[in-house]
Amino acid sequence: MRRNLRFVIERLYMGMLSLYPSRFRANFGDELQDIFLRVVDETEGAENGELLTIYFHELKSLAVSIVRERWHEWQSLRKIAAENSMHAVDIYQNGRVSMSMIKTPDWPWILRWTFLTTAAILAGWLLKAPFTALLLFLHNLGAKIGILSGVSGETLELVGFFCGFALSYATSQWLMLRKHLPRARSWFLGTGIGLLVAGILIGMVISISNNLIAIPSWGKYVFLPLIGAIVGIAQWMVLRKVLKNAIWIVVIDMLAAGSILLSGRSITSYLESIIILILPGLITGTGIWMLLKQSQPSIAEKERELNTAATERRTKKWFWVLAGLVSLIPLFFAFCWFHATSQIELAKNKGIYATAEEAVIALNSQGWGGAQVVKIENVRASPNRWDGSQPHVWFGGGRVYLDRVPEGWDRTQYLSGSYYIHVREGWVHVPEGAFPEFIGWIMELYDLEGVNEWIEENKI
Amino acid sequence: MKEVEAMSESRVVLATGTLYSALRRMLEDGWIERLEAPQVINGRERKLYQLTEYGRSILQAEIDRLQKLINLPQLKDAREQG
Repeated sequence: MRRNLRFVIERLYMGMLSLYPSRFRANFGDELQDIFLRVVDETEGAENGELLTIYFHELKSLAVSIVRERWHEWQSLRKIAAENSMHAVDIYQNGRVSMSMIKTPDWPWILRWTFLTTAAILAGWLLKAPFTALLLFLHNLGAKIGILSGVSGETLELVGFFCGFALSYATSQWLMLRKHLPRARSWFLGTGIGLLVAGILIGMVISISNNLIAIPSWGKYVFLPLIGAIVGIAQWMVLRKVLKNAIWIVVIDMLAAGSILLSGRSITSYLESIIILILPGLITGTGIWMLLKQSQPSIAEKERELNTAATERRTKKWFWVLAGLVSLIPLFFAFCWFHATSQIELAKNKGIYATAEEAVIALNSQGWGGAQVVKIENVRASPNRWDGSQPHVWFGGGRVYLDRVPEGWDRTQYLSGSYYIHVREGWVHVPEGAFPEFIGWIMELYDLEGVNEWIEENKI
Repeated sequence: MKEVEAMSESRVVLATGTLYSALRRMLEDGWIERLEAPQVINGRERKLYQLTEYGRSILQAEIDRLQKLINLPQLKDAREQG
């Protein structure tokens, strides 16, 4: 236990050292570490209580010292800035722009890009529901005042996904490029707008196809590269003034979007998930990295001397990362509420039923790829958890018999199963992908749909 | 740090953070200086600091000030008796 405690305290101490201003760290970092390790060595014979007191004293003193040194460093920089106004302009106003022109990425940058792009895809998927709910609200509003109607829920969901994905994807790319590309904010706008245009265009095609024409099976071979091309053109408009051979970004984006085709028709296997989540990031990351490398001279022309500010900025970045992490906590709870309310609204929009069994029958009576449902047997629905928690979240299903084998399937009967949640007006279907148990938890947390009162009334 | 604790009879317990903030301040104010070459003591490399002339004069001034404070009651007693 003592060894584990020592390990944890040492790691914590080393981690805290990185919070010192870079100048202080460069001057005293090694010495502080050395002396601290010596103090720790000297605690070998100490009792547990004494040991904890020593560790607490060390960490507390370090925390106070970090705050003191940060304040001192800030004061020093202000003093320098006041003494030399040109330098101040460099540090405080143009620093970000100048910094962005200094660095060219190293190869691990591609891995970081791939990771962030993967995260952006997942975030886009999570943001789909709130954006779809917003679009649904606007659509219903438009329908009420008579300027919009007939847009299918499927189309709204697709455009909702593109809205969320545009936001997360453009943000992730901006984060990765802001140090390597002048005017990285324009890249954010270009990428975001490109994806939105692509989403709206594809949504319009699907909307028309639902009503008038059928999309052929080879449609996806056109749509995905088309999305890549639209985003690529939007990014090229930003890149062309800065990078050589910027036009290649169109090809890179088309390849990245097209790579999803390798995953086949579903994402059920790990390999297919990896292709969808990782390949687009890997392709765009490698492509942009090569473009940035090639364009090194043109960017290098704009380089400025900012050595001190560079180190300072890194420390500042860590501060913001920390502040960002802390601010994630309220954001998480806000997101929870938003996710649950938007998912419930979407579910309500698809249908509210008096009983969970009725919801099971309604859900399974349609959506079988053109095949008609002959009958549904063994319809059952019961609380999802056996321990009595979340009595408002049920799991239900039945055996569905079809009149023929649907296109792309191999049988005429299926055992279905999905989640159903009790809302104020009755039961709604919530797909597994929307995390129904998570929604159930949020409902209790925020007492959405009067759920806590309902649970109280229906206690077994 | 142990020496400070022992000398002050545990009234002053220095921790590494406090110590190095103080060292930074004294270095900036020119009271102490770092010796160029680190020395190996008990098999470990240690960076050493020493008082500068200016630092020594500051220290002396502080000793004088504290000495005067200590002497004040004695002076007061002497005056009252005299």
